[in-house]
Amino acid sequence: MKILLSLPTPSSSNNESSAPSFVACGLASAAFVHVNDTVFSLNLPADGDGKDKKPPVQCVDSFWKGDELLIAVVKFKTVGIFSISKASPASPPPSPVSTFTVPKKVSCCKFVSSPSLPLMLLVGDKAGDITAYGVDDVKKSRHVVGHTASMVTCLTTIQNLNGTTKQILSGDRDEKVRVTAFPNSYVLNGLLLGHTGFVSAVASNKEYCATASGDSSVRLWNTSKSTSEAEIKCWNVDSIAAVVAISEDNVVAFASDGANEVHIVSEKESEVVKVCADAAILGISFVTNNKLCVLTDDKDAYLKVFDLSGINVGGEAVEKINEKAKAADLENVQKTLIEGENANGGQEKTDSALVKHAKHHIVEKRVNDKGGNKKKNKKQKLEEDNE
Amino acid sequence: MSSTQSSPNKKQKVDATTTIPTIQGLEDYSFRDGEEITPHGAMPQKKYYRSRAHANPLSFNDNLTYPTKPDDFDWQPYYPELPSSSSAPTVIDIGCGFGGLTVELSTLLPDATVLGLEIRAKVCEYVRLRIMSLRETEKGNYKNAACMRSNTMKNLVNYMHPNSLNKIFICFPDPHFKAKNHRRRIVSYDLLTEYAYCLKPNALLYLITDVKALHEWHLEKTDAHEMFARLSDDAMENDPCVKAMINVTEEGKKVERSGSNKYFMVYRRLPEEEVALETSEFLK
Repeated sequence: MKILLSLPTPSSSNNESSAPSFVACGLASAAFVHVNDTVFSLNLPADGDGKDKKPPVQCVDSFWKGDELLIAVVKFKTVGIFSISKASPASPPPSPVSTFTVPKKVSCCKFVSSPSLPLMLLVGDKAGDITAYGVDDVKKSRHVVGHTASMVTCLTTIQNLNGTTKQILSGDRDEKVRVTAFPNSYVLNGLLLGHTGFVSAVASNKEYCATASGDSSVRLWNTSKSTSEAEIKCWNVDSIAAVVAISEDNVVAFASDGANEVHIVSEKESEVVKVCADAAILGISFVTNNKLCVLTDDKDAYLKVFDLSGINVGGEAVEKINEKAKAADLENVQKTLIEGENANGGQEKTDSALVKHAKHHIVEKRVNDKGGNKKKNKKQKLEEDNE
Repeated sequence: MSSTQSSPNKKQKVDATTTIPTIQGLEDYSFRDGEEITPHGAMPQKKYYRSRAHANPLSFNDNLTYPTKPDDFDWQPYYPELPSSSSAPTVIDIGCGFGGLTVELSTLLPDATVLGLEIRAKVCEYVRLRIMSLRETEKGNYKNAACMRSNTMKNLVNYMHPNSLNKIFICFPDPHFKAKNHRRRIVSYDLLTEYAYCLKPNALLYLITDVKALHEWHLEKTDAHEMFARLSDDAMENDPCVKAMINVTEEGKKVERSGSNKYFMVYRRLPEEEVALETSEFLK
């Protein structure tokens, strides 16, 4: 299932305690917004291609614009921007304020803001380009960053202290993570080099960022340091690392593809603390430094929040404190999920994007070995190069 | 010291100070019918190293391996007689072809470390043997020239440190005429961002081609890139590298024989302080 989880940080002018808490997530072909304890779905009609008549939600992002919460939902090549007002969030399920289509399949999106520039949505596509679309005028766009000959797999931004975007972090299938300045995106500030497999996810806070990769590792980086000195730590994962999140005080949470457990680590702690979510994990995000929100494929309770304040380095699994899907709305949610699954003919048959990345690399190797060449495989060669 | 006799199937003792590491994907191309194609130290003959003119940089190309980051790569084997502090390349020739410009730059810029990059295996092997032969016959010269097989479009940043290059030459690149192949061109807005990243502030980017449409494309893309500014005609007149670029490449000589024109331009990579973002029409 395609997922994404987004927890908008209220802008500094809002009083944190009185602001309702929002979680926007995408699951199968439905997108939901949870406001405090109510749920409603965001309706974005989209056309798929031949195989996928009802495409799943590819990514979701949210942004506070004054008292208005903007949520971008992307399915295949269609992007919809929804607006929810803080004052009356639970009014009739919104349809998008604006919808537009992009030329290539989208893999990730993120809102960016800059003083003296209109609010924009960055859209990363599978051809390697990141384009900024104007939220107020979606017909206008600008090419911002390009990963030549590759595919953008994940996107995040680093903010200045006043909330405007300072840098864009984008990961691609060729093991590189680019750090590009914003809005002067002609300046490549640096690259985070160190992964030996495709980058599947990237998460950042003001200074550090964490990346998950198909080389079964999760790495922590200091984004303000130069290319050679950026990597701080590397954790090994059982298989492809799929999702990652980082809190404001540099605690990293990650999970591998299809796993039930979230691993919590930090730069200084050498022990890994595991949080068991009882279902395959699809997305994770830190609400505050101590609360971790997890999106799973458990239909009864797909959104779980874990309290990490009592965390014990000894490795005790912490209790679930809150399950956000209420019974009343559960039926609707379940119906949409089931519809979504039937439409896609059972998601199990189609590979997740990550498995596709991995398969791409394996197929390439086989193709090149066809001629009966005695070519060593990439990993061996790399090891020899590094000896 | 290398011996002058060559017995079949026996490699001569090689002089470590003149060798360049073997080309990826072509480690076993030294022998044919029991005879060494190019004995050590001999100038290679082009007929054994002919290759198709076009190569698709977007495809996986023999699984070319590259270092994870620039620190992981040791340049000393390519420049055995240079001190290790100056063995990292400072001048690169992207798509060096048969190496005419690479060897000329080595004599023109004796303090620079020149690297030729080529994606085609046989052609790169030719350049490698050519430089090795020059190092043998003119002892002490050409120790600052080398070549390597790589797909620059994909892995330039894996090899080069930021702000490390003084000059980048792109001579007679593949024009990729069809619109659907324009994304294979070696000059594009995104690749220019990478070139600006690898070049030092005020370093130079040299472009030359005989295809007018491609030259117009080069001008359009590089003029639009905020980090590059054209060099004045005077500055280009006075730069000996410009003359070299025009005259000594194999492709350049071919163009002269056929009587076509050559179009070139040199750009300066601006320091960040000199560049201002135009915010009035950010979105179009």
